[in-house]
Amino acid sequence: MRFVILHKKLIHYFLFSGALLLFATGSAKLISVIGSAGILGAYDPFLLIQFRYLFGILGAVELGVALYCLFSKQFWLRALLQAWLATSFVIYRLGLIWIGYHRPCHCLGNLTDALHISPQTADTAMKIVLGYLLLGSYGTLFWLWKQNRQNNLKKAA
Amino acid sequence: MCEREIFRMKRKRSCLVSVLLLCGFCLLGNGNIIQAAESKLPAVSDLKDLLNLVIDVPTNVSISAIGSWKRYPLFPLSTPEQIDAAVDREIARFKKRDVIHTPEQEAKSREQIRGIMTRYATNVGMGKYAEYYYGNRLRMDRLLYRGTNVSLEKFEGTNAGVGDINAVNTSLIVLNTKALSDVPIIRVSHLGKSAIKTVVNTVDEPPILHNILQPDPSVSMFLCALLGKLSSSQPGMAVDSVKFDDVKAVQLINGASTYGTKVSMESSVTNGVTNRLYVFTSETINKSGGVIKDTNHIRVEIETVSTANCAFFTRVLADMRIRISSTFTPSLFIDEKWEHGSNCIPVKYSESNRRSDADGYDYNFDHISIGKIETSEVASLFFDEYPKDYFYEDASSVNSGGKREVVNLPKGLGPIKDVDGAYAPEGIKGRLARMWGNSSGKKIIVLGFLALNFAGMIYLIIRKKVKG
Repeated sequence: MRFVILHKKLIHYFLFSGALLLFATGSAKLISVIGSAGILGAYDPFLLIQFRYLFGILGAVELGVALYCLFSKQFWLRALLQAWLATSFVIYRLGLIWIGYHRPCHCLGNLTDALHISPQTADTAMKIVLGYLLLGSYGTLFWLWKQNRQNNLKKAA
Repeated sequence: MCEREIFRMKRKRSCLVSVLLLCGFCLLGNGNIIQAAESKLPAVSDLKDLLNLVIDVPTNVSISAIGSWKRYPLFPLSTPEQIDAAVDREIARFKKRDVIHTPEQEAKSREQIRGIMTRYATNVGMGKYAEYYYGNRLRMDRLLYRGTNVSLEKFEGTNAGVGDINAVNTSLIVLNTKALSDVPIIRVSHLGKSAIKTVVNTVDEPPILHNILQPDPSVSMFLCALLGKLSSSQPGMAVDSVKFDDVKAVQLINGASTYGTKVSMESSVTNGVTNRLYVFTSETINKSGGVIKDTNHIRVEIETVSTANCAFFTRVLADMRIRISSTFTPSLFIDEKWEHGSNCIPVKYSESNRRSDADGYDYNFDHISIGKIETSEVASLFFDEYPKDYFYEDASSVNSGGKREVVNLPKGLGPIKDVDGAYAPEGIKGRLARMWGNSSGKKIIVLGFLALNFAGMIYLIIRKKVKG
């Protein structure tokens, strides 16, 4: 029982921190949208829409997920949403590598310029964040699935 | 968890979110960020900054070019009715772009456009290409677009820097600088200026008033980068003395006639636009160099030719997939300066192929023809860069005595029939290739995975809701 509570606390902290991270990256994207950096006029290689709109949409989605994760009590849905976002980012990044695009990802928009952070540094930071979200969310989902299964077995017994 | 705890937790969360929102707004209101976001032109104070600017340019540049090719109409110019239609079309564009304001201007423009159109259609110098003029233009732009795009992918793939860009987009610039009063002058002549405009995505290009760029950050950056590149490659050129910080807008007047140039410049002066960086090409310099005298503008004149163009043409022609063999070689319409460029494609200047207007000015490289062989060195130059199977086996249809039926376009775009001035549909494969570039298959797969991921999430949510 104590073990379960500990895990729940861990999961709670993870989901909460994940939400904060998403809040930060989503805000960065939305702030970038109001700028006029050259990159905003360029098109995303996959979706063929301007980065300006992509940042806007993605920023809103990230903020939405972040707010949900901050206020909701449903562990599984919070974890699922974070896992979904993280998986999408991983697919996107792998896709970029696959097509031979090796420049830093513009995950934080052009905010990095304003904060005087080099794109490489921001890119590395975002990779770490992504890894954290991915491992944490899938770990959480796995644990929840396992708990659910145990509960079901107990009920059946 | 008791009610009290729940309440405390909620209060904690609310506080946290409020703090975060507050931070966000503070960040938003931060002067630096707003300034960075709003600056149309990057503040450039020295050469290093200029060169650094180059890094982000090609993406915009190339992608802009994608949008440009569609704009060029394809219509023949062999009958008076067709010429009339073409004139009307151009006038309509002028009006749409707010270049023509008065009936007098319209009459004058109409007269000039008609003159040029007629000359295209009848001038012996234009020869058999007269009725294909716009067809050629369209094709060239498509090729340029593709060439640029290919280059861009190369650029991205290699995580390249200034050097790569030099080999790609800005390769068409350079040379021959000279000072005129206190203004730095970079002269770019006929043989590359349209490439500039294609690359930076200008507005429609009517015959007379080639391009007037509206202030656009990507264009500004491109030009700044260009100038930076030029200044680094041209010893003695004083581009870095230009105060780019003061530049509020950039206007490229590319191969404009006196009238067009005057109209555009007067328009900007009347509109109270100051500190505008004007970039002229040589025709403009020759025909209307003094127009902006005494206005508070920076003037830069650009002339392309020779060495830089060689690389560019290599790319363009290679993209045309012309078979370079012992019987075909490109003959470019060039001016005399061409032969002085030691690193040029060794194509001899051919008087018979020269395209000139009534004033003796060469037209730009829209008129590339496949002429007779003059040297085999060209072939080796091409094949060094492109594998042999990149080219079609037989390119005779590209130039079969004035009647082209099939034009071979690069892989992915598929053969496009040029019949009666209209392109046949290029097919879904061609469209996809044009939309997504060379890696269209991979991109579609990635998009598929993203969609699958989204669908998976929705499925799980619904399943959970149903199961309870």
